[in-house]
Amino acid sequence: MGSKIRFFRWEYLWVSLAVGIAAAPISAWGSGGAGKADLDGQLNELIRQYQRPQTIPFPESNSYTPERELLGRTLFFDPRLSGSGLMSCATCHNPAMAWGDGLPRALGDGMKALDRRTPTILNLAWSELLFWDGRADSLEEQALKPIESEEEMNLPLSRMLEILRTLPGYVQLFQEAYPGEGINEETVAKAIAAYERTIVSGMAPFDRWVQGDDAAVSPAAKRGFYLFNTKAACASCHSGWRFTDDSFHDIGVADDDKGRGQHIPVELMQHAFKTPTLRNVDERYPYMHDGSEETLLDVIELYDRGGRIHRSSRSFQIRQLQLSESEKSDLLAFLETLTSKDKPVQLPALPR
Amino acid sequence: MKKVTVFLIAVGFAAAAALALANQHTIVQKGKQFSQVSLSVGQGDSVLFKNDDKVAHNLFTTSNGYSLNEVQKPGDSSTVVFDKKGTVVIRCAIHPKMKLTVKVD
Repeated sequence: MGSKIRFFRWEYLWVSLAVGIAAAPISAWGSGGAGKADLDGQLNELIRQYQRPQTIPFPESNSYTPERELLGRTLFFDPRLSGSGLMSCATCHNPAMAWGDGLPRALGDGMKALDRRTPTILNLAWSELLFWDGRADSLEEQALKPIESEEEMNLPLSRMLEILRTLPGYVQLFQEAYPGEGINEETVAKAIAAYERTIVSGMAPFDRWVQGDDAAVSPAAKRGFYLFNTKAACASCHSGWRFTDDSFHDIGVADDDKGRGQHIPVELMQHAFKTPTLRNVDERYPYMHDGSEETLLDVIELYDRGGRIHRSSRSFQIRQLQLSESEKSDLLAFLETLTSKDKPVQLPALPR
Repeated sequence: MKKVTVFLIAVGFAAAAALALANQHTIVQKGKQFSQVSLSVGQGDSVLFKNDDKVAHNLFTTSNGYSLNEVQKPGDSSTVVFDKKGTVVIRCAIHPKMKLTVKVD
């Protein structure tokens, strides 16, 4: 069993209050009339699958402490962890932009465009196989790769350790976070991973609806949620409270990137990418792994058409959906309820 | 039902005798989970993998000398023979949170 920490925000009290309380009857979400009670029942059944957890999971090998969170946050925002001295993890994973950068393709060392869009790092404590192509098994394994990548932050790890070891403030932070373990690749990776696990999207209107506040979302959004789980079949992959099952699929984005197929010799993994969370999704445009879809409606269109390109690797679940314009509008209304108004992140004072 | 022999079974009386004593186990895939996270089998035993899910799965491993890459649509079943001692970690390539550790004794 790994360790867990509780969420400390006031809004999470709603989670506790919801425990043991059956979901309230849902009303006024559709057209009413015959069959409405049945539809309400179906919705109540569905939303039970989207309850937020009360704690964040941490592995035994890197359990949570406030000191580790502080060290990780300090490292995360420190631009000296790049060859140029200008890029921190937060340069691309910007908390002011839902932990992304708003660009179609990330910009790496020397402002050169990379091949893929910056994914958000929201809610990764529950995830496995990190990066769009799943090439890192854990957050600890993932954390150092962008730092040492010549295309991304371009800082050799030996140089990174030299920098950190010469700063007394960091020596103290490491000693407090990982007593006796020193400053090495493992402790740097563990600290960043520990901090990343604390980055969790807050309560959104959808969550308040799940917990029984029937007025938290509009009737259009409720219809959209129903479509999301039925005709549109989005929930086949975007399931659970994070709205992802961490699966990999070729959904028909028309580029040549092999994605997961670069790392696993499986036909269905060619051009396959990790299913992203949909939390705060309306703030995270443009979309897809290559930033090729500008708006959420564009993404809905892509799925409605069964993808932009058909290849043998295309997921069996991708097909034409025959959505009407009002159904697309309802789906959009639902997706907009997944965005939380999170408090600004407190920037750390960097050791000098 | 498809039958997948993961590792060539040596011919001969000894192997035939072992095969005659082999057991069959069943693992069901449902709700994007294997019915068990770990399984102990005897050398030469087989495991029937049934996809009772609404989505396709893709059994995959390259661990311990095994080579398995089997797409299973909803309703499909496949039999995998484990004829080499050791530990084999099987994942669904599509849903890698589905992980099964098979210990072959």
